[in-house]
Amino acid sequence: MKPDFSKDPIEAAQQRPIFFDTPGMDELVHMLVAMAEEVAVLSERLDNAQALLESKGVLSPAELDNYVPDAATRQQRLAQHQARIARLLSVLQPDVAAD
Amino acid sequence: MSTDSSIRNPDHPLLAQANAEEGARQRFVLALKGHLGRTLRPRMHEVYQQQALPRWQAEQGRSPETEQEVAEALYAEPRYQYWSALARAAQEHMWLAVAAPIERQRESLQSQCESLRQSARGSLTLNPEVAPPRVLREVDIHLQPGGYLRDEGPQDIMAGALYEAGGNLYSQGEGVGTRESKADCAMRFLREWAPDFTPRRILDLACSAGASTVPYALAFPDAEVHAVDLGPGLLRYAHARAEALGATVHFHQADATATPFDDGSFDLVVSHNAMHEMSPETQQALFAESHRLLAPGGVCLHQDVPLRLADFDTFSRVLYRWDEFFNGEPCWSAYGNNDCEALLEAAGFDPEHSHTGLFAMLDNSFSWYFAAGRKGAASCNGTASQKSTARQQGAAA
Ligand SMILES: C[S@@+](CC[C@H](N)C(=O)[O-])C[C@H]1O[C@@H](n2cnc3c(N)ncnc32)[C@H](O)[C@@H]1O
Repeated sequence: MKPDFSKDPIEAAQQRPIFFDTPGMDELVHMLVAMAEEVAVLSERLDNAQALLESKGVLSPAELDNYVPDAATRQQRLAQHQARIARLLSVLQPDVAAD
Repeated sequence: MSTDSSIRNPDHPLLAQANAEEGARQRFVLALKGHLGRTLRPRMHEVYQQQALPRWQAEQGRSPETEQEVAEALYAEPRYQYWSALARAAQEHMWLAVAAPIERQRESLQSQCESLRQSARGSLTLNPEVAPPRVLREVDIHLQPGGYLRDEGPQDIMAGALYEAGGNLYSQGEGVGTRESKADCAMRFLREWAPDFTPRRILDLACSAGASTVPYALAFPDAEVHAVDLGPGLLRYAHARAEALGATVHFHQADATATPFDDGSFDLVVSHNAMHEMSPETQQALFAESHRLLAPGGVCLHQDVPLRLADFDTFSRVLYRWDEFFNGEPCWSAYGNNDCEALLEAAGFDPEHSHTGLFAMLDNSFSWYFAAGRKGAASCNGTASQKSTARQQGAAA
């Protein structure tokens, strides 16, 4: 999609722009951004936890590697993954607000 | 808490605090926008020269000339398509990241605003009869969710909270949050340009969250300060924010081009970063309304970004116009091509007592564009009133 400079930009603002010729590519880029954002969030979270635990002398990095979550925690993780996927794919449901 | 109000982004209790996850999201989008804007955008000239231009030339047998032709060549390049799609996605994700802590703390922010407004020294006058211009009704400026006119009930402050938080995040990326505010820069200009001038009644047109209104109220405690905008959610927030910062301001829901005030009822009328969000007709009407509102000897000062599109080649203008079409800046080139000298003169300001041009911030890191006019016979400082034609590159807000 290219801008039509003979038109009022107010009209261009009425829908989300499509820049690629191949249908679906723009949505893919949105998903990629959402995915990269999740990685950023996770890595900060992990850094925070590790820094706190090490500074309090609670555990060493080796203990982290060997941890296996219990059943309840695993359920909670599953719910988190579901929410994450909904956010990742939110571009496919423009009518549903991402949260 | 920093309460220095001469800086651009003073701290106050109405700013939502990001938790760890929200903070991580905000830092991520800031990094992404920084990379797209500062690293990749400058490379687009290369993409144009090396790929877009030869391809267009081969197909058409000549070089692109008009902005439309350059756009046709550029927008066909996959690397520019990637840049565009990423920049659009980054802007949308920026708002999601900005909104998250505000949504989470919405009720407590609303009730803080309510209580600040109950013990107010300033005031808020809403007028639902006022009809906003088409551009504000149909476009979410900067893609801010719900736009400037978002109004979800008598306590809603989302438009103002989002506007301020979005601006704060943006200036964190630019590193300008602790620099001189636009209003303080304008007041410094006024001291040079019109040294004899002390305003007693001040009006800020298109005030948004009141970030530029507050510095006037604090700098001129004896003056009566009024401010107008069209968004109720902006104004409720602006009012509470001003009270939180100890500033007495009277906010009104009104069109900046048709305010409810009498002829000659102000001696300083300002606007900050307002022109670039107005159609050409609205810009002209803004100057005309300023002239109507000023008492003899009064001054109007309209500040905005230093974007003068005529200074750029066709390719660069096409790059700027991306924001106009795809990033909620529909009036970008209406502003970038305007002629403030002509607007001032047409509104009735004598060119002898007008000023247009750049004015540097205190730390010289950036210059704003000012268009100022003094009504009636009073004189202004000759050296500073020379017209400056040196104009430089502006940054998209
Ligand atoms: C970029 S913001 C202004 C920023 C603000 N002055 C500051 O310095 O923080 C532009 C504002 O202009 C307002 N606006 C646009 N057209 C207007 C009009 N015709 N009358 C009043 N306000 C208008 C919008 O609602 C928006 O809040």
